[in-house]
Formats: sequence, structure tokens, C-alpha cells
Amino acid sequence: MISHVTPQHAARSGEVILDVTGLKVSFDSPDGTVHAVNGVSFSLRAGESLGVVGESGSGKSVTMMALVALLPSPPASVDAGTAILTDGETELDLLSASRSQIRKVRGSKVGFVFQDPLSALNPTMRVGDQITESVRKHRGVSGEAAEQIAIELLGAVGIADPERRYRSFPHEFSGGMRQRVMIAIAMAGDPPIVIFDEPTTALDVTVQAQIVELVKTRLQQERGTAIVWITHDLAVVAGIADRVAVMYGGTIVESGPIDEIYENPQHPYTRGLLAAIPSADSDGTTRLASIEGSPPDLLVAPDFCPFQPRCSYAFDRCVDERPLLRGVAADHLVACHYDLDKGEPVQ
Amino acid sequence: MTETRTVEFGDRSRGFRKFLKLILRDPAGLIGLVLVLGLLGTAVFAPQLAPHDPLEQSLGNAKALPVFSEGGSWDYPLGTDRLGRDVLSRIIFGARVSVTVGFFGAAIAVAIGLVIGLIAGFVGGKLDKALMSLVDLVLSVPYLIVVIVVAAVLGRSLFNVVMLFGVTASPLFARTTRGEVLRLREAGFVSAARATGAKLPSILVRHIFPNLVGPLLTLATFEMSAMIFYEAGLSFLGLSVPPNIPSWGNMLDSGRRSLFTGLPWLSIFPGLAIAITGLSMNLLGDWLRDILDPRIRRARG
Amino acid sequence: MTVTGHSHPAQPDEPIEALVKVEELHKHYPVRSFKMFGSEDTAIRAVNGVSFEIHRGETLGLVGESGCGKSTTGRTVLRLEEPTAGHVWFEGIDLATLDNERMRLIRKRMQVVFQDSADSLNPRMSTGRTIAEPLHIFELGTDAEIKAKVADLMELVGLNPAWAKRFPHEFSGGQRQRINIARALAIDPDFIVLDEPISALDVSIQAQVVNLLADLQSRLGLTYLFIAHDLAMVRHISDRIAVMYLGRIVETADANALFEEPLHPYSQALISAVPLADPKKERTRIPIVLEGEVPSPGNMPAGCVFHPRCPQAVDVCGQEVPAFREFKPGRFVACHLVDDAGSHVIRQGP
Repeated sequence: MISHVTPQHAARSGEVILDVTGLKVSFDSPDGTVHAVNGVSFSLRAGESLGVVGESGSGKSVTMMALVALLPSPPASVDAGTAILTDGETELDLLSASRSQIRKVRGSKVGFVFQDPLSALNPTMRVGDQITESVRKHRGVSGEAAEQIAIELLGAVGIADPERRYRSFPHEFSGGMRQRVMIAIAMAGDPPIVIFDEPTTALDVTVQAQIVELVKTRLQQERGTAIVWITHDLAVVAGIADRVAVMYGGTIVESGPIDEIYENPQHPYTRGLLAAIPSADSDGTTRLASIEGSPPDLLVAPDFCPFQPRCSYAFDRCVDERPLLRGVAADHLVACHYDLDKGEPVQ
Repeated sequence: MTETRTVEFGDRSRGFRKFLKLILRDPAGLIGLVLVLGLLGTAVFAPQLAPHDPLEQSLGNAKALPVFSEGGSWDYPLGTDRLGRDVLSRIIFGARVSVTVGFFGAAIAVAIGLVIGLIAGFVGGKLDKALMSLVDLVLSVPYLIVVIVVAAVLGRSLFNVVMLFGVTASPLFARTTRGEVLRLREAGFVSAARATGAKLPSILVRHIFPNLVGPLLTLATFEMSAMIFYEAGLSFLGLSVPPNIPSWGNMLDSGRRSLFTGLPWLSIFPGLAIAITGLSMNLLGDWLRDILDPRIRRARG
Repeated sequence: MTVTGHSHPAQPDEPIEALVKVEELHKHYPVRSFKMFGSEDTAIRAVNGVSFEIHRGETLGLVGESGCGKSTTGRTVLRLEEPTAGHVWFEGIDLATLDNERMRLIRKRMQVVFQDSADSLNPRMSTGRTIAEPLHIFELGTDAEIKAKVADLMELVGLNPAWAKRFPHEFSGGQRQRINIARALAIDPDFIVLDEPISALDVSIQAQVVNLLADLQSRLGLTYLFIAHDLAMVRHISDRIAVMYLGRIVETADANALFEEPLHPYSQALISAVPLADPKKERTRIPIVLEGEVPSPGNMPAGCVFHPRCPQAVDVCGQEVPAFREFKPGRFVACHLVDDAGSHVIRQGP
């Protein structure tokens, strides 16, 4: 690989590069205030990959978009929290940073890959030029050199014949190829963090496999980029994440190392989600474990456990008091008043 | 065997209460609705509302000033023109022309457009292409020239103006209808109805028409206001109603000569009437567009 | 009054007769592409010779990636699209021979549930009216009877009958899908095409709907054609699975047999690409990564439609269309590389 494509990141692996605490985001709506994110805290270490799992309305995308000020305001407003981005010696709170500081962060410190690449790409611009633009902005090179890097990047994300495809327009690409272009654009700024927001949800399973493979080799292994992978699909996360945060009703209800979460889930919601996935030995005669009820109403201010109306373990404390994250094992946190292992409420 | 059970399907009168609730929540829509209803009432009850005969000339009272000017009186609240005709009464009667043009013009446009759009959308193929070419042809005709020709050949008449506006606006409705039909016939609920064995008339009545009401009504409201503007323009040019019928356009025209000779009111009042009418219809149209889409309605409460 | 399905599940001594039999079904869409000189008529072969059988009371899963023609197959089987060629038999009746009125009557027996989306329910029709519509169409009962039946149907699919006056936008995605299912069940069908019924739903809701479908099947003796791209869910709900690629079925097999030993190279790639919700197994999974993209159905490759991307293709694959042959009972594969014993000439994989 050519040096332009694979620079090394300054931060040492394992160092916390993003530390989010107490993030709250709400939206104004005619029906009232929608409490989309209610006190989310997590940290991201250099080079690690964090899976953020949740269903629609869980606040997983809103959390990430709030960090780089991508939410339209109004109606969105960030009500509380800090998000410290560490880059070598400098620290920056993304939530109180100025617009120009955030603009500098986007692309060069934090890259973003969205679910729908067609709407994220400019339809009237050649894909190569869109990558070149990003290269120029973030790497301080121009002209031929920038174009050369863009072509290398196109090749690096697995587009065959990159010199020729440089001149194509987005509509001439398939969904999977467009997502590769988005990844190339994210790589152009060589950010230490790339956030993937449901990047494979709209893609077929064989194409998804290609994209996951690409991210693992090009970003994780070759560059040591830290990755946040937002998804509703627990199976995709199992293959790509080192750690998982499960979100429900605007909060993280459980987080921990990937194996720990899948083998020893401590939140009833996480357990329910994992049980709802059909396994190889289930067939039509066995019932899937399902979580009854509907997703929470975010118009109600969350001073209780958001999962409590659907939870079979719920008791009066779950209605009265919002559970906070507590440690159950090394690096494994859960927000629940009930101890599933002991089968009794937490003292 | 369980006891006989029943369910409520949701009655349609609920729709009216809901409508009231929704309009009371939106001041802009409410203002638009009230003004449009006021305009309608004015047109219908013009003879009862007008203090004077709009055509009655009383040269002794010519060029009377409006009530709020020095020397004005309540006899002629908005003053009189140079022939001594009451401006208020003429504006009230002028609303009849505007309302007739707006409502009947739009009604004709909707009727023609709906039929063409439904046929084009449902039959498709060559007939669709032919109808859409016809629609393009109508759109490309310069209507002002047609109006002049019609006025010259057939004389000035409100009927001609209404017909002409109806025909020239119908392509908009034809296209909207066709587009909606093409979208709706592929919609899941129409496929499901077909899969259930529903016949075409039933699909039209139950699934297509109710979903056409919103877009067509909204478009019609905007078109009405446009037609009222156009009619005022034609009257101003003397191409619409005969001069013995008061209309806002021909009032503007006759007032124009007095604009800088101490009688600006003669132009300002009919101008205000036109502007307020246009504004109110656009407010109403905007509001209708928002509430008639159930998905937006939910977002707005 | 309660809702009872006509209970005619297959009796053990009865010979197994296919409820639905599809033979060499084609659906082509003509496309006229304009060239500098004149125009050229081509066809998008969305469904290009598809054959399968569905037995009474069973679920056939139809899987494949977007654009493979699985949804068009479902719509053509129901004659929501007129087939270009081929036959669909329902209880031995060739649907192509039916006139409109007789087709309309047979629709009582076959229903469809679409992917939940903004347009699967008429936004201006209350839930009660939506569910009652099929009953009104076939004039099944008085108003009071229809209302009572709607109440039963709503309860059957897990909806509160008091919600009958609500409109679609007042429901969540999972609830809307229950309304769709209730509408499909209203006229006691035997056969339901489920066209991506859970794809738009959240994971925790998917399981609810799949369980509901399974319960209804066993209670009412329903037969399903389950169209989806989520292979894990298809495996769970289906008795047999048909794998589609570019308008053709490349393999049909019992659900577990297909996952344990896929014979067609495309089935192998598709199954190997499915991520597993188990990090330890997931780390050892080696997906067969297919090169290139699915060709356009307007420009079919010669020979086997899969050969340009097939990691195992040999010369004959580009020349001859492989026959769709039954290698073992119930096991059909269209591949040159499978020998008569039903095993692969060249095996690939871990």
C-alpha cells in the first residue's frame, strides 16, 4: 500500500479518544418535546470498534449525529452533556465547540458513513471529484496529487478499474459500490474515528459481507481506525465489534465486551433481543421468544426505566426510579434494577 | 359461542369535529378560512349587504371621501367615484365576479382534469400518451391572445372568461390526477384490494378518490386565487365583464385615472380586496395541503 | 360467533396434492431503448422460468437478493401481474384459463400481505373498514355480522377491537402489519403470499409477527409463500426454501437441508454471507465473497445465469443452461457441477 493511503494514527491503541458523558438531546414537535437521547455516556478507545445496537427510536443515530452537530436545530437541541475528543495533546468538547471547530472535526477527526449513500453523494458530480474534494480539504494536497490519491482510494475500497470509474456519476454505481465510495470519502480525511450509521441495512446480504470485510481490512487492520457501527442487527455487530452498547428509549441499557454481552446478557431487553433471533436449530414448530408490546413513547419525560412497560421482571422501583448503569463484570455495565443472575431485585 | 360483538368503524361526522379542532389550532389557516367564507358570503348576499345600488349615479355626491378622511361620511363609507357611485357597494358586488370566476373556473378545471387524468392514469399506453400531448398543447396556448380573440369575436362576457380559465387550468389538474393515480394504483392497499377481488369501481370509490381529494382541493384553492388575479387583470384591460358590471379589475382601471388627482382611494380599495382575497386563499391552501395529508397531520398533532 | 378457519389440513392417508403448483412461470417487461437509429425492443426478464409446488399447510420460503424477481413471482402467482408465459395451478385449476369473474371468486381463497410501508394501508380508511373491505366485496353477512367478524379478526391477530375506528397512522409498524394480516384472513383464505412481511419491522417486533403467523398457520391450516431476504428468519418459518437468482430458482430444498448442505454455488455464497448472532462463531465464519455485481435482468448472461460470478464455473456453464433437476426427493438444483448422486463435483468451502 502507498503511504498516502495508510498513514498511522497518532493515538496509541487503547487510549480513550472520545469520551461522551450525560448527553441529552430533545426535539421540539407539535405533540410536545421528544426526549430522543436521555443521558448517554460512553467512551471510545483508539483503534477499537464499538457496536451501537438499538431499534428505531432508540436514539442510536441521534446520539452520533449530535456529536458532529449534524442534527437540524431547531427542532433538535442538545440539552446537556460533554463529548471530549482527544487528539494527541489537544482536547475539544464537541458539544460546546464552535461551528468552525466542528467543521474542522468533520471528515478529518470524525468520518461519517450513512445508510443511504445515494442521498449523501452529489448526483451531478463525478464520484472521483467528490473524493478528490475531500482529499484536498483534509490532506492539504491539490491538483494531480489529490486526484492520484482519490484514484488510489477508489482502488483501496475495491472498485475495479479506478481510473475509469473515477469519472462515473453516482447513479452509474450500484448500492454497494456507492457505499464503497462513501467509505473512500471517509478515508480521504484519514480520521481516527469513523461512524457508520446502518451502512449495510439497505444492501443485500452478499454485498453486506463485502462491505464488512472492506471495513475490517482497510480501516480496522491497516489503519487502526476506531469505528462506531450503528445497527439494529445483532448478527452484523457480532462480526465487527469489540464492544457493544445496547440502546433503548434514548439510553444505553447495557454495554460491554462483545463476547460478554452475547454470552451473559444482563438486561432483560438485551436478553429478549438475542432470544428473538432465530437460531439454526429453531424451526417453525418452536416459537421465537418475542418482546411483547411496542417501543416507548418518547414524549414522556423519562424518570423511570424506559423498558419497564414491556419487561416481565418489572416491579415498582422500575416505575419510580430510573436505573443507572452499574458494573456487573469487567467493563460490563447494565442499567436495570433487577439482578437476572440472582433472580432478585438489586439491593 | 361468544356473545354478539361489535366494533365501531369510526363515523364520518367525527371528521368535521376533527376539522374544527385542527383549524382552531392554526391561526393562519383559520384567518384564511374565515376570509374565504366572508368573501363567499359577500358575493351571495351582495344585494342585502350593499348600502347602495352599485350602478346608481348620484353626481351630487361624486368624489365623496371615505369616512375616515376629513369630510367623509357614513353615507358612503369608502367614498364615491367620479360618477357618484358608492365604492363599498361596487366592491361588494365586484366580489360576485371574482367568486364566480374563482369557483366555477376551478370547478370546470377540476372536472375536466379529473376525467382526463383518471383515463390517462388507468388506461395508460397510447391513450395516455395522446391525452398528455393534448394537455401539453393546451398548456402551450398563450391564453391572453385567446382571451383577446374571444372577446373580439364573441363579445365580453363572464361566461367566456370562466370557460376559458376552466379549460386552460385543466392541464394542471389532469397531470396531478394522473400522477396520483399512477402512484396509487401501485400502492400496497390497492394491490391488496385487487388481490381480494375488488372491482375497479369499488377501488376507485374506496381507495383512489379519497386520496385524490387532498391534492386536488389544495391545488384548486391555489388556482382559484390565481384565477381571481387573472380576472382582475383582464377586467383592468377591459377584456372581461362588460363595463356595466362592477368588478374589482374595472374599478382599478377607472380609479387609475384618479390615482394622482386626489382620489387614490378609488384604486386602493379594489386593490386591497384583490390582495386580501389572494392572501386568504393561499393561507387556506397552505393549511389544507398540510392537514389533508394524514402523515403530516400526525406530525402536526 | 368466532373465527374458525376451514380446517382441512392434509389427512395422513390422503395423497399429498400440491395446493399451488407453478410451472415455467415467466414475467417479462418490455423495454424500448432508443438508439441513434431506430429503437430496440428488449425485455426485462423479472421472472424467467420459475417452477415450484407448495403443499397444503406448508410454508415455502422464497429467498434471493433485491431484483432477483421474488416479489414479482409472488404477484404473478396471484395474477396481480399477468404472467408472460407459464402456468399457475391452484387446487388443480389453471388460473390462466379463468375469466375475470371466476378469477375474482378464487381470490377468496388466496390472499397477500405486503411489506409494511407507508402504502400498505389506505391512509383514509379506518382499521375496521380496512379489515371489513374483503367481507363487503364478497357480501359476506349483514353489517352487524361483518362488525362482529371484524372484532373477532382483530382479537385473533392481537389487536384491541376498540381500535377499529383508528386510522393507520395511529399505529406502530408491527400493529399495522397485524391489520394487514387481519384483512388477509377476513375471507378465510387457504393460501397467503407473504411478501417481505417483516422486513420493515424492528427486531423485537419481527419475532411477534412471525409467531403470530406460525400460530395462525397451525390454527387455520394456512399455506404460505413466504418471500424474504432475511435468511435466518426464512429458515425458521419455512418447511422448504427456494433460492432465486436473476429470475430463476437455482435450488429448492428442505429448510434445514439447504442450510446444512447448500448444493448450488449461489446458495452456498448466500448462506455463507449471513452473519451469525454469536461472536465466537462469527469470528470463524468465512464468507464466500462473490465478485462483481448482479447483471441486469435486461441483459441475461448466456448459459447458467450465475456463471459470470460463480467461483466454480467451468466452460460448460457459459454455454448451456443447466436443467433444474431433482437430485434427491424434494431437492432440485440447477447446476452443471452437481453430479447424479446429488453431490458437488467440486466442493468448495471450509
